[in-house]
Amino acid sequence: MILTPKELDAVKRHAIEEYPRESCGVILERAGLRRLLRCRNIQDALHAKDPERHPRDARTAYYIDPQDLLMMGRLESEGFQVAVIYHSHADAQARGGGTGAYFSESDRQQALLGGQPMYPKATYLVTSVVGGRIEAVAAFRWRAKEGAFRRLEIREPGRSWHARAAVAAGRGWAWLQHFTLGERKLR
Amino acid sequence: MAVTVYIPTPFRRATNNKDRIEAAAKTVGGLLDELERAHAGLKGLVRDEAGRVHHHVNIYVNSEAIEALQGLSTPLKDGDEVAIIPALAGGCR
Repeated sequence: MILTPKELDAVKRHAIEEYPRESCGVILERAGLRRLLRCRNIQDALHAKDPERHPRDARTAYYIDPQDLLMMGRLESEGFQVAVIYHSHADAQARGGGTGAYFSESDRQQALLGGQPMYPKATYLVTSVVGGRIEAVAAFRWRAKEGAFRRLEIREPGRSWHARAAVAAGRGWAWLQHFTLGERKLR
Repeated sequence: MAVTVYIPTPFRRATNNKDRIEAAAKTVGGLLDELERAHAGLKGLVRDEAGRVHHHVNIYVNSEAIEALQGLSTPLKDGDEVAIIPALAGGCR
């Protein structure tokens, strides 16, 4: 099991609440007891303070508040293990004919420390939100044999045609907004 | 009594899976020296070659970030709790 249906709902809800910013959080586990920690994305504050070192804001990046990491550390020292590390992508361009729920280059780089995975047993969960609606959720985990992160299957109940149509409309709307804003910038 | 250092999962491969280490150093900088002497695998993970703490690593003394204290010169006393925690970050690009 990667996460329970209730946790999946909470992760999706968090992603929608934070949209158009990226959401982030972790799920820890100890002997079957699980705790979901909604974390604060401080990327906007980092960007405002030092835009050279942090050129991206929270619309395209996340950085978990160190205070949340400290809380996570406390739970780890009580025997909890990091089971899931989640974040969202907002209006991300679909890749490879797929969706915006992919493991980006910065996701991969930041998940490694000295070339090794920081949390080799954790699952990284990426939720794509398009136009304020959930488009897709994907899971990734380190495969030691391959030395790479690979996608895992998440079993989700089938989504209705109108939910899929709403996401497609959202993607169109996001594209239109991007185009309009681009036009405004040109003037 | 001594200083207790909390080692999170990402650094435990360098500490024989120990999650807590006792140390006697009197400053945070001295503590990092002591840890690197005892656990050579930590070298390069917490600090760069010039001895500066990596941007993606946060150090706390009793839950207070060392940037808000005196950085690597922050004094330590018996009973203090130090945590060395790497950032969790990423994004769509």
